[in-house]
Amino acid sequence: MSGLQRPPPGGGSGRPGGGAQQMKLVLLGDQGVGKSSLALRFVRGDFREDQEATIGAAFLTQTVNVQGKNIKFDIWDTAGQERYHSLAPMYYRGAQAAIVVYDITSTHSFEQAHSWVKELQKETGPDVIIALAGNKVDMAAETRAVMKEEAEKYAMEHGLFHLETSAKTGYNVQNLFQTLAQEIIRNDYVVTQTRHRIVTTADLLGEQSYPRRRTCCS
Amino acid sequence: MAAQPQMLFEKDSVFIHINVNSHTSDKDAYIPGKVYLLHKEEGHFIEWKAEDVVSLDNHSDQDWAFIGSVGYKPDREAETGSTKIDLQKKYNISFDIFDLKSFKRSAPNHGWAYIIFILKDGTTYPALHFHTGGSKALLKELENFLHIKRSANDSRLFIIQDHDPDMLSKSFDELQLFSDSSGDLVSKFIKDPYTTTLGGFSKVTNFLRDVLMQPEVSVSRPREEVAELLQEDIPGMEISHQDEPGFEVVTKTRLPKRPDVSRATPLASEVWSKHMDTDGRIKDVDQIKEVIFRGGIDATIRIEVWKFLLGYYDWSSTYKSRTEERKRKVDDYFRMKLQWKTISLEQEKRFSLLRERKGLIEKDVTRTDRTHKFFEGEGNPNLQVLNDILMTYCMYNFDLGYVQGMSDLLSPILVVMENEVDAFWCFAGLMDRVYTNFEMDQKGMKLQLSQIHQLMQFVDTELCSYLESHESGNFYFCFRWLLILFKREFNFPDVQRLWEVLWTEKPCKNFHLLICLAILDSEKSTLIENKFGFTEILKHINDICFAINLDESLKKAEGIFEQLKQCKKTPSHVKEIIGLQVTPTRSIPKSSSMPNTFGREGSPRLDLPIHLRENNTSAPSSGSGTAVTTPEDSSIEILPENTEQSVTLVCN
Repeated sequence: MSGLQRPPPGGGSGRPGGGAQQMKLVLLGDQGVGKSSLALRFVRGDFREDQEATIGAAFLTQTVNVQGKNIKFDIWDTAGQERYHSLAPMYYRGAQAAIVVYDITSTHSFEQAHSWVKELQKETGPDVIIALAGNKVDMAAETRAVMKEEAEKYAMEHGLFHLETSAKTGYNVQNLFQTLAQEIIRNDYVVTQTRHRIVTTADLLGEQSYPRRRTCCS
Repeated sequence: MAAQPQMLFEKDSVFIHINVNSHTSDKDAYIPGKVYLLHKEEGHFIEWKAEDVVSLDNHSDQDWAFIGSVGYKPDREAETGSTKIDLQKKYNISFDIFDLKSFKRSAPNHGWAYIIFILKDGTTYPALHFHTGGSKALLKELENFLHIKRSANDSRLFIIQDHDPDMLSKSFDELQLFSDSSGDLVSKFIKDPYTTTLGGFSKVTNFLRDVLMQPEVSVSRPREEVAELLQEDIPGMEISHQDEPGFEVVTKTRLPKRPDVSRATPLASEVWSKHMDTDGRIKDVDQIKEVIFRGGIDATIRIEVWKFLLGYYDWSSTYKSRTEERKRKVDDYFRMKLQWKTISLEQEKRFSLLRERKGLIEKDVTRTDRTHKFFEGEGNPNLQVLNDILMTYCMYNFDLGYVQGMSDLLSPILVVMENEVDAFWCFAGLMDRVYTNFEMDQKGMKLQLSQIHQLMQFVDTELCSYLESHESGNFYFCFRWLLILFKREFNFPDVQRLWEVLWTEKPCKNFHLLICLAILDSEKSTLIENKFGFTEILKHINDICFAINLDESLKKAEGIFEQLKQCKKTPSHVKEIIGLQVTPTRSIPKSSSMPNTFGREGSPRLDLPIHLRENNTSAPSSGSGTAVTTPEDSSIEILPENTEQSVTLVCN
């Protein structure tokens, strides 16, 4: 037995991450664009080429620290195929943030992303933060089909923030979630003022202007 | 610099058992590891680490042979050491003990002790098996930090008590005892006064239970006293705390005691051949189905028997007619395969629908059961077979097309058949039973979810109202179970066993719904006593895959069926769901043989003897090639929705 000193029963010490701000986030997008892979990369730091298709929905949690605040993501990962579209409202209802994912090697998935954005903007309140993630950027050299500029233009027009990601290499995955968390925190202050957050999210598009770096250290 | 974590507890020989996704072996594989209780800067952590991880830097091939054999992604990337460590890591466990919500221990008569840890967010870890003891010592250590209380309803379940001040301040108003999103109470009451009332009452118990289980109240109280308190507070309400699982609550319709049923050995090759007459006809179909229901089918003859269960061959066919039938099926398959195979790239450019389906199938094929021996490795030719069958099915049933989940249903069939044509027709037979799950409007899924609800309302009012009051009354957490028939919940041998049992359509229609009830019954205490809400329930249900005991679930489900059958007060809509009652409008021979007998009117019907396949229990029509629609396609009037009969039960 270890005869080490222990805190009294009941766990007197403050719970780390206690009082974390909860944030419901939903992943939407066409079949096979990498929704589950993005979530798993973020939560477990893992990647599997043969990640099985999501049936129904999956739920994951992960806590991140942003500007000294703990944000606990409740992540709903949904099935992508059109056929299961009717289930999606159950998962995006009440979400503070959504990541609409497309595959940069598939124009069809980008078109699908448009309709998701449209639906979200119609069905959810103006305060839901929407990120547009162009996944599989590791394949850009060989098979890119959606130009970054095109996606950025679209994002700008629709008040989203856009990032190209790779769940496989991990590129921009942390950044994606961190930025969402930052936005949530920012939103807390401005939410009552702005009906649409287009201004704030548009800021994000000019990457330099946004103090993203601040979040990574500390 | 971070301080070194202090080790408060350490035990080796703690194993995680993982299912070997192999059709050749029923055995589990064990990953050896060590369990720790660590004091880190951030808090106290329980960790489990695979023992191999430490030594993997200079990995020996032996380690890898093991990993390969247990069915992890042995693809090209697994050749590098770092990926291997990642894979090992996948099983590693680490959590802050203050995130712990409850744990389950093994039954006392289990060979060795195991513990399943369940976190507050519903995360449910695989069981940690203490092959050489140590589980008690670990729990003793934990008690230094946590208040642990044994569940009154499930002796294996232990709940961590914590402070949840919100609960006590909840007023009765907030509980909305009789509010229900799914319809107005009055009409519900008229329709079924009995369960509506009790459902409302049992929400009171849920509330009281939640309140009383707060540490402030209950820590010092023995559980009998809590039970007494519950009883005192609602005069006239009957609350029983029987220790048997299932029915400890507020229900006044006592279902008869759940009978013990037993399972038997699989249908053996000799028994199967004995059941054939000299021409190869199956002599007593009902009896053979009974044997299969009771014990499944021996793996060596699955390849043959499944063809009968899935309507590939008629039960009354002879050796001779089967040879002819097979030939016809081979020709027909290749005819359809040729249809899509011969579409040129040029044509395809102008055929977006086909292109789209091709893409969907390709995407799913590459990620279907890749850890199973039959499909593992890059460029595995069986993936092409999987792809071709699904593409051909698109031509066979173009209206339905390809929907996610279908590859899951095909994979175990292909593994058994090991033949493209046979697998296709068996798959088509299975799809005939479950295609409504995949239709655009999802009506098959919706109907089944509502049927589970109706069944549970009667069988277990307490759990039902708990789920209703925790945003789970729609039973969407059962979606995966129903859509692909528990394919993701069990390992391959178990899935195959379960499916053949279901295909016998015994002991009743919609037996798979009773299996849902049985599994939920086993999880009942965990869900309720952990006070799980919508997200936690879904996460927990998703996480218990591979941890469900199939035989127990089958036995329990059959037990529930017996209870419903024996109970005199079983409402007619419940009876109809499981086919206990024949609709009075028309005499139908027995219950319909379809497990999902709903709304077939808009169904895509294609040529071929597929119609016959569905009704394989009814007398076969003479020429098997005559694809006539049977007038007995009776399913439409069995739709239980809006059953008008007002239930005459009274709360007496």
